[in-house]
Amino acid sequence: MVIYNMVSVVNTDYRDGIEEIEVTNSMGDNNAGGSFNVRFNNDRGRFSDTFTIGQTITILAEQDVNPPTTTLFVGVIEEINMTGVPNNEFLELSGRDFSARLMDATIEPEVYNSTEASAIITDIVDKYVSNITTTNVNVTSTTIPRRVYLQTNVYDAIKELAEETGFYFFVDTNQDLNFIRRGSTSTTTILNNTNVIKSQVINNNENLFNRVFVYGDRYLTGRRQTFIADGGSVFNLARRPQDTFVTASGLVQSGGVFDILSTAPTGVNYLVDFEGSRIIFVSGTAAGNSIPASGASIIIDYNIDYPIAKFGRNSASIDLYGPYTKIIINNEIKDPRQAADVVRNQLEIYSNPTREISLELRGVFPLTVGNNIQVNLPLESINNESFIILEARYLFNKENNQADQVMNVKLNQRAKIATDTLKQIILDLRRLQASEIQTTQVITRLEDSTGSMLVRVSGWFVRTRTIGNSFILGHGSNGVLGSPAPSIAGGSQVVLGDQRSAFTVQRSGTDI
Amino acid sequence: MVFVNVGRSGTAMLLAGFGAVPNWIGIGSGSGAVNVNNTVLIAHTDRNAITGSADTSTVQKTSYTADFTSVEISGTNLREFGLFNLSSGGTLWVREGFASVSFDGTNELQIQIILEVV
Repeated sequence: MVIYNMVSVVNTDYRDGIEEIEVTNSMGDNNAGGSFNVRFNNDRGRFSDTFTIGQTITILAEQDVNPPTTTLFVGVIEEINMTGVPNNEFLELSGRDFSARLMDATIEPEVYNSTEASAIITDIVDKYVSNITTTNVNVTSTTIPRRVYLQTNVYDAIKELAEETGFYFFVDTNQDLNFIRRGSTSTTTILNNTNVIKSQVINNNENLFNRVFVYGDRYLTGRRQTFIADGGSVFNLARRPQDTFVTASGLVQSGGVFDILSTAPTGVNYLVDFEGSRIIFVSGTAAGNSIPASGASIIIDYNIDYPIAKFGRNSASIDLYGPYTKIIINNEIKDPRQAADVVRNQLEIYSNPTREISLELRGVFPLTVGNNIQVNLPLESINNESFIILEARYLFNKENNQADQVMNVKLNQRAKIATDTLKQIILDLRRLQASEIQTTQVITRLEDSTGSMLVRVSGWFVRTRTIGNSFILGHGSNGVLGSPAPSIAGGSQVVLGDQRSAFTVQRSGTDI
Repeated sequence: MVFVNVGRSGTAMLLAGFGAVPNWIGIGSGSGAVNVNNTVLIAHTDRNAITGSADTSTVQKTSYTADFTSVEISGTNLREFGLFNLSSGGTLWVREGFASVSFDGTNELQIQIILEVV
């Protein structure tokens, strides 16, 4: 049993000179992506001018079939790295699969109202992503009440929708976006003692959360309260006031902030006690007496701040493992129903301890991360259970190929690693930066266009030919059969039939 | 040969689906200067539809050929010709002028104009 591998770039196959190929397809909670690294022996610079950034690369591998025909990976070359020491020249190609197209594109400020999740995804990809089709974006049962995107990364936007709908997504080797319900697709392969070389099963509570808080954006709503003054200076409001507008007996009053100065300054009629939800009319030497007279009509208009906040918990999980709390702050959540969906989905995914299964496999076969696969390893207490494929990693080199040990997979749940935390920090920072962008912005677009057209005269010809003694109806002399033809020396008889000469160019020209 | 201004406008109109395609070749005996401001032939004597259809067999090129019989061309001192989009009046697309070619009834005329998009 030997593994054969091959790389194909723009319809040219490469089998010689490949030192090592590494392909990794991995899955986050609701998303999957792949990357590759190919190392060539670049002896005497034989590959130095062969590849260019942006070319499509296909990696094929198969057991005991040479050349291999099974496609494992299709992606884009994003980096070409040449290294060398005397007598050892290498060239490395690396890049990502076509989900890179999703990662590199952003959504211009846009709002979707009452739109089914897959319709949003299809629209986003059609508008903002190139080279990706949406044939396998499956319809969900979730209608998104309202969704606002402010220069949001396309990949992150789809990931967010996947989290809310219980779906996951990836770009397949046909460059088609797949948006599929988690766990709805199974692979036929069974992993057991015939193809598992090594196994490791880890259970831990790193990703365990059974209490989830979600904080979204905040909203202001207007309110008016009317009072009849009783000679007092304090008017209590129902809620903490923002943006107050106060009139007393129809006259607009000037406001200040309570306790910001020890005595109220000149020109201020009232002070706002935000935390105490009060309006306090002032009196004193500097400010003068602004306390409304008894019976005066006091109208106070103000705004109330309503933050979007949702909380959910899984009591069964709390009873079993104790409380673990997760707080999500995302100002892009502008609808309370979206916040509730996020809470539900987070509890569904994280309410139980992580169980990560790592297996080293014999043979080589394409595995779609996100699909379910059946595992039977009784010694690890796994008896024909089905798990989601989180990661499929292939490492081809001479040693691994000959030993038939090129595949590693991770199943079920992935333990959180440092890069996950880093990614979350980047996402949070991006959200923070995007919070000032408004959906109603008018953007001046400066975009290149290519192509031109010139219509020109490429040539012209003025040609003549003699009519000879051909009969020509209506002609003064050649229109009479039997008459002498004037063009023929000696006056030949006009006859039926074509006696004309070939055309001769008299004048011609061309554009140069 | 000059692609005249009104011909350029006609081309732009065609891109939007307006106007008639140039399928007529006119001839004349005028000897005025050929320039982009020409809108008509100087001394228009005859105009014929192109023979058959325009030839588009060469990529990015269209060839128009019109034939004039010995009867209709007889007596003409040909000094100019142009491509038009209607049988009379219409828009001049291209015009050319040259030293005269005389027709005395014993010869026929064929004019070919090749336009190219580059």
